[in-house]
Amino acid sequence: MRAGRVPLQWGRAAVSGIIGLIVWQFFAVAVVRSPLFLPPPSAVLTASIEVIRSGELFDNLRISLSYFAVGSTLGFAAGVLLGVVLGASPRVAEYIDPWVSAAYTAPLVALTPLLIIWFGIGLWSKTIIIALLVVFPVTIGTVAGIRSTDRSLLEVATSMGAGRLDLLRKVMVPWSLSFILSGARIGVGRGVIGIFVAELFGGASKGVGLMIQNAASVFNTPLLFVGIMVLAVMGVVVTSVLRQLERRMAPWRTQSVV
Amino acid sequence: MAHAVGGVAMSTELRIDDLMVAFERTGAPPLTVLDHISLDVEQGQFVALVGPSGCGKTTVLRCMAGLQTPTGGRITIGGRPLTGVDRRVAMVFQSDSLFPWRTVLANIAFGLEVRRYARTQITGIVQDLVDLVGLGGFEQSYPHQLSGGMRQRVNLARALAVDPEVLLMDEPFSALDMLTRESMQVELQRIWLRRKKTVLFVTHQIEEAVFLADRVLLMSRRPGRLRANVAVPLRRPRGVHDRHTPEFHALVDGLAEALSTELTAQVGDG
Repeated sequence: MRAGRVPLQWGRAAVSGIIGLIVWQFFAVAVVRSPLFLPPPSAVLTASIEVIRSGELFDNLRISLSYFAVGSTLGFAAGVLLGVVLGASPRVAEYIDPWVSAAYTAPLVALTPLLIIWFGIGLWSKTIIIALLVVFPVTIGTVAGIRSTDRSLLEVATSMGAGRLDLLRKVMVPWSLSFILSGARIGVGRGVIGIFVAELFGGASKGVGLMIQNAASVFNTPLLFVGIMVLAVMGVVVTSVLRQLERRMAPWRTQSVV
Repeated sequence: MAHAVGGVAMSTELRIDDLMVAFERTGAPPLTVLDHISLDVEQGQFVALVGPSGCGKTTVLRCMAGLQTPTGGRITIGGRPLTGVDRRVAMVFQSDSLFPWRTVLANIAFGLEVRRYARTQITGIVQDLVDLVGLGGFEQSYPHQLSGGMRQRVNLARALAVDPEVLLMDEPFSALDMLTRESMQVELQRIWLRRKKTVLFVTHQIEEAVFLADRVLLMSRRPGRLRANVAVPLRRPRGVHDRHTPEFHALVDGLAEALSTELTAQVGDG
């Protein structure tokens, strides 16, 4: 049953994608008729083949991916840690919660110039901006998970002699897993935007964000689209890996009785 | 007081003296949930605690499991007082209290893990219990893959794993359909006859209490007080056919009558 559903889902996604491309092509070629304003998908394809061939795309992607991976890992780890502390100790949370909410909603990317002053134009400032964008959604997800832990499960554990640390490690954190991973999915989406913004201010020599900027500055619209699509694909890939992970690690959330 | 069941004097294992539980309320007098409950259970005896919903019968168990602090009174097991969470008791909770991220084996192992048993020791104990409660073949299944009856077998095994002196059971079969419930009662009796734990079993079903217990205690509506103490002299092992004997029906009817008197009296009061 499940084996049949997944390909069907993919099939529909593919159909939707193809229709979208056809509409786009038609619009660009027949209505807008200027590749500067809206390049047709065919032109984007040509541009992407070009940057792939020249190795330019992968040079840029390698740089962006490296600090994105380090930054989001740091942000994720810090988010889980902070979330566990806040979730487990309501009193501490009362002091910290307003800061977390503020930091979550604030446009942190605007701090990028400041971070560059602090940490230089190298990869550290970019790593930190990514980490900052990822950390708070993960924190919020973790806190939500821990606070929603089923009371009866906590009582089962308590009655068997579980201490505070056991409750945390063996009940609250496993319970919160899918909350943590949803937080991570939101964080990754923000992180991808962070790649572009970090490189916008960063004066970096390489990166997908920089590639987009350079393309924009010479009105190479097809290449601009290539850059955006690369970042989008990155986001989709990481998000779906996280979703797979959730399905594997928390099957009771998504799967009913077999 | 020493009870004599079946003519054999037995030692008192579990003793509850004047147990009181009241909840503080703002702008109202404290809500008395348990009002001077006293009871004795002999070692290896199966006692059922029956009463209308909201009578505080679960609260009695929660006090013993260390999940509720009594306002007054005293609980002892084997003469030694019980205060807070204690290794000598284990509780079988109502349905859906299994850890959904743990397999059958890991669920049963939980209590042993938090009591810091060695891995090798845990494996042996858990496998024995899987066999005892009849879950062979489902060791690696997750709770969401099991039926309600099987989930409660895991629940029972998890409590038995820590080898408690007193087993508390809080309406463990209340969420099951009637057929599953009756077969689980037979199963529980089989397992109990093998392990001979002292059991305090809470239910609102009189038939269930009579079928399972050596003695049935009837509780009144809130504030909970003990109203009747009825010995069940039916021979063991009891089977499905025993539910249809005149003795069984007489006991059930007697308790039902006492319970309904209790209910109407309270309605008249309030």
